[in-house]
Amino acid sequence: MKEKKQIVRVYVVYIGMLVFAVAIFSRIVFLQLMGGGELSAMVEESTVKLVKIDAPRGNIFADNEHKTALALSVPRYDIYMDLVSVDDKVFDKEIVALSDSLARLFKDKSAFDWEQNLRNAKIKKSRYFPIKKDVNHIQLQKIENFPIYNLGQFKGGFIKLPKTKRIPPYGALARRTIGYYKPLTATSKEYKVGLEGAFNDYLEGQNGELLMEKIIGDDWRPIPSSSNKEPIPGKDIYTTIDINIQDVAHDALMNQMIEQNAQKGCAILMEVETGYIKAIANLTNDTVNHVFKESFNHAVGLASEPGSTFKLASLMVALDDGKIRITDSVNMPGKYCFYETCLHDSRVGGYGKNTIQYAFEVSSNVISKIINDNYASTPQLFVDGLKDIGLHKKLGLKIPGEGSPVIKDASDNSFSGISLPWMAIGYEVQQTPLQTLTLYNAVANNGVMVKPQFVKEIRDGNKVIETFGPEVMNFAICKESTLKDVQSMLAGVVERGTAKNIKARGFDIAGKTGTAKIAENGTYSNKYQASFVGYFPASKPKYTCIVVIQGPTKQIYGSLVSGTVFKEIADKVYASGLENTRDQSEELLATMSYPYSKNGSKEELKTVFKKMNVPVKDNASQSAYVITNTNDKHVLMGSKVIPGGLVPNVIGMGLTDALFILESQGLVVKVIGSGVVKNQSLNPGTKLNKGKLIILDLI
Amino acid sequence: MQELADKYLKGDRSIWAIVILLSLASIVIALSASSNMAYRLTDGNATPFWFKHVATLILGLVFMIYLQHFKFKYFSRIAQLGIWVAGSLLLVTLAFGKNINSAQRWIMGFQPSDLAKIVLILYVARLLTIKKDKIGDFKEGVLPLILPIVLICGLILPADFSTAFLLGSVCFVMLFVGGVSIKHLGAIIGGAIVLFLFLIMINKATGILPRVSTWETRMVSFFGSEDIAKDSESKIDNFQANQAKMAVANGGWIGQGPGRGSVKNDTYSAQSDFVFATIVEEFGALFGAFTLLMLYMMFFFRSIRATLKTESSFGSYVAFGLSFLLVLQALVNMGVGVNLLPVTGQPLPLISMGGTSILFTCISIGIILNISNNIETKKSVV
Repeated sequence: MKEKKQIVRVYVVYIGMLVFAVAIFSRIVFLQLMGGGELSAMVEESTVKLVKIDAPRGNIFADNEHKTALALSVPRYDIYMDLVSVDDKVFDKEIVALSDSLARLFKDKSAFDWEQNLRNAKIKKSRYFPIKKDVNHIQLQKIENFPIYNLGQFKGGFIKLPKTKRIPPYGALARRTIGYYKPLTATSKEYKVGLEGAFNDYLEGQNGELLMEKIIGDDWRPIPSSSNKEPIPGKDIYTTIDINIQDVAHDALMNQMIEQNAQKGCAILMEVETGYIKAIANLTNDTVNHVFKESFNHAVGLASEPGSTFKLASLMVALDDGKIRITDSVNMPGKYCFYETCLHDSRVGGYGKNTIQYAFEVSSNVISKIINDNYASTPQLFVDGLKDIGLHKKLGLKIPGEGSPVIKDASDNSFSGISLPWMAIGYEVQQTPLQTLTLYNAVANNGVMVKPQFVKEIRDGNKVIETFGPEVMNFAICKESTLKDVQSMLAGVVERGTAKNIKARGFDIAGKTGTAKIAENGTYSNKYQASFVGYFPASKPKYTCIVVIQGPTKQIYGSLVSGTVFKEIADKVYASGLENTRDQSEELLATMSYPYSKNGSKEELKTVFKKMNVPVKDNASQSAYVITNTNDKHVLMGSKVIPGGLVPNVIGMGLTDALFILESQGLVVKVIGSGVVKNQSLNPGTKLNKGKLIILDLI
Repeated sequence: MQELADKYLKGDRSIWAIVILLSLASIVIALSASSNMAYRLTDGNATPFWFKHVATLILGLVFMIYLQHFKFKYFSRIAQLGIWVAGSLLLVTLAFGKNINSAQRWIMGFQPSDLAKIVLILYVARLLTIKKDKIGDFKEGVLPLILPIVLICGLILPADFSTAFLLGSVCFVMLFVGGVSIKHLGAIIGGAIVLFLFLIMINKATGILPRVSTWETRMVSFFGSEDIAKDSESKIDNFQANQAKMAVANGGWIGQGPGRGSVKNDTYSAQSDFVFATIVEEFGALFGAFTLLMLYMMFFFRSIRATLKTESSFGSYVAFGLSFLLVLQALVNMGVGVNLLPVTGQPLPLISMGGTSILFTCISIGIILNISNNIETKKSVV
């Protein structure tokens, strides 16, 4: 381009663009000088806002066909009061009545206190005075009719903030294993406990976003927009926990903890073949309030010196290495000294001369000498034997907070001259109760070590998206012959050894007692850890169970303190014949051409039946909830009339549906047992009084 | 390294430097700005978006390297042919294109208007060169120039007003630079206004141009107050604009740091329309805004240098037209981001994500580099 006119015009354009650029930069400077305050006021006044919609959190279910919820989310409300918007005259006239109503409903403050507080708040012109948190639906309905509040938000200053609250329908049962999740906030860090924490990514779902616009007052209406995002509900966790066994284990442990006034204790029941944890109870003595609480997961987190239960591992190593046979004869004088330190048998004077098998059964500490004699020159060989079993590794649980096992190497600085004999009887090593249980379970499971599992399935609605089958950690923890030997020794412990007292009628138990001094602050205290771990029926093991109780105050021995709890659990599990009932119901189901179904939400049932190609005859055109009746041709749906003002019939429904219906009608629900509703304490069709208690028997 | 650069990076080194700096900035910005968008659109996994962006940039770079070796004389012929291709594609898109926000701009995954922009500028440059001697004459010189402009912009207009307007403006400025007299230019503006009013009237009567209502609401929401803004689309625009203003104010001189922008999370189109607000929030007025403005203006300056130095008139018009289009786009996007202009939907060249727009930007830059390359080689021969 050579023409002068053109060159000038090009520069004119350039200068124009430069002016544009300067304008943009000036605008930025202007906005920044204007400051955030004015702008945020503008955003505040904006009639459009982006609202976060919380995704419903997934539920946690127990292991049965009835979808018994161990954790579910229910609606709750936080109540506040805007005292400025209440007219002074109205306030003076009604404050006494309101205070009285509040006092009667919540019972934690007197009417006088309420009145004082509210009057003070009124003087201070409080616009956001907290009344009560976590109010349920029934309470909310009552509060809404209280004097002053019945005038609504603008005249009565009544503010309710809906939220969802996570509740455990079964209270303390497996509380710590179910756990909780608290998200990261400005004031607190993230807390992940138990299954709620471990599976939070599945449970939490994905929050949605919705653009809303203001219509009148403080009412907002969603604007249709392509950028709106529906919340995706969380997935449901189907645990391995059997609520009935859990109940038994919890009660048995609780009774013994109270009896012994012990410090902490846990009881775990595991299915031999699968590693599924059917029950896990953890109790801690809250010495301030004198109650026992599920406040720490000892079963998973408490790595401690196991004591005699570890002798099993020691002998397995020695047997596998061919160092000993269980029929070898040993002398048990009752005192075994290594350098300056001596170990004593619990019976003064020992057990005389007998077989190694007998020594194990009576839990003689001669085992320390046996191991020391055989491995003193090659201690690492013994350590390697323990490591080959896998005792030095964590189980790798999904639940956070697993305690680290300790198995020292011979080269470790802390490995002293007495380490070997002490390790042989379960000191200077550490295992968590669950880790010990896993070892015994492997013995019961013919040498196959499976990982303990708490979750069977993760489902998205009714669709299974992930299953957790048995996970083998070690295909053979020892030789076949060793396995036979230790199995017979474990049976002998109950047959004629330290656990004679728990010998059961009708089925055999095999196991091992453990009584260990607890190390505190580097030295051994006079507190004991009493444990019993074993499996039953001994001949064809179905369940493995461990009970560990720390700091009992009446007795100290594993057999008496923990063995009795073990026995109680085993008795009830065996007596209720849980596996039998399941077989029967499966038979029953097999004879019908179409599946049996619970009563419940019509749309949900229809969806399921449609997926399964089951013909449905719908006689319930109007109802949302239906009664089902399975026959040869189809599943018949009848109206489940839920009349207003009358107690609904929830018999035959699952807990989730029943809770929803009853709570929405304003009843207070108490649940006993698990499964489907068998009985309800208020007869269906009787007059419904809001706030009344209804007890549901579930089977 | 030097050899490698000599072999592949021909043309104006300063332009290369600017392009590489912009690409790097783009990669950083995309990583921080995309995460929220990706979260919204996918299951919370942001990286795929980012990788796609980086891959597109690399592909664009390859295009640029290739185009600077291209025999320049072919561009004029390509324009002659391409104008028909672009025109037909636009026609097809208008009839069958994919409907995004009631704007039919897409066909087979790309916006033909992106192609049409380059082709039209090449074509206008070609005509300006051919009609050089008759430029003073309206009938013989100016009218044949206006005709393709009106036709192409008219085809883009129903689906994408702002692009049509932008492209029309660029062509108009090319006519200005090309030596069309002020009197004739005034006549063109008058004609355009009459034509536009005519279109609005047709729409009012028949409703065949659904986007016209969108333009109206955007204008209303920008110039009017919220009370006037009645429908939800303009409310969303208002909401976004306020969020963007917050973001800009939030940024300060040095910004909140990459990925730390908080307002971004609420700004809907953090990716395209308001990417500049996000940049200011995270990188500040100094590192974010000033640097970007400088880079684009320097790019324009270097391109103008090529415009003025190159021997061929065709080349100089092309270099001017393409660089002006890119910089105008950039400034318009920034203007929207700081709420100086109503929402237009123009991307920030090289920075905004969006595959084809980046590729066509790279093609434009490649052509400019080719032109500057001709000057450099000429020099070295001399």
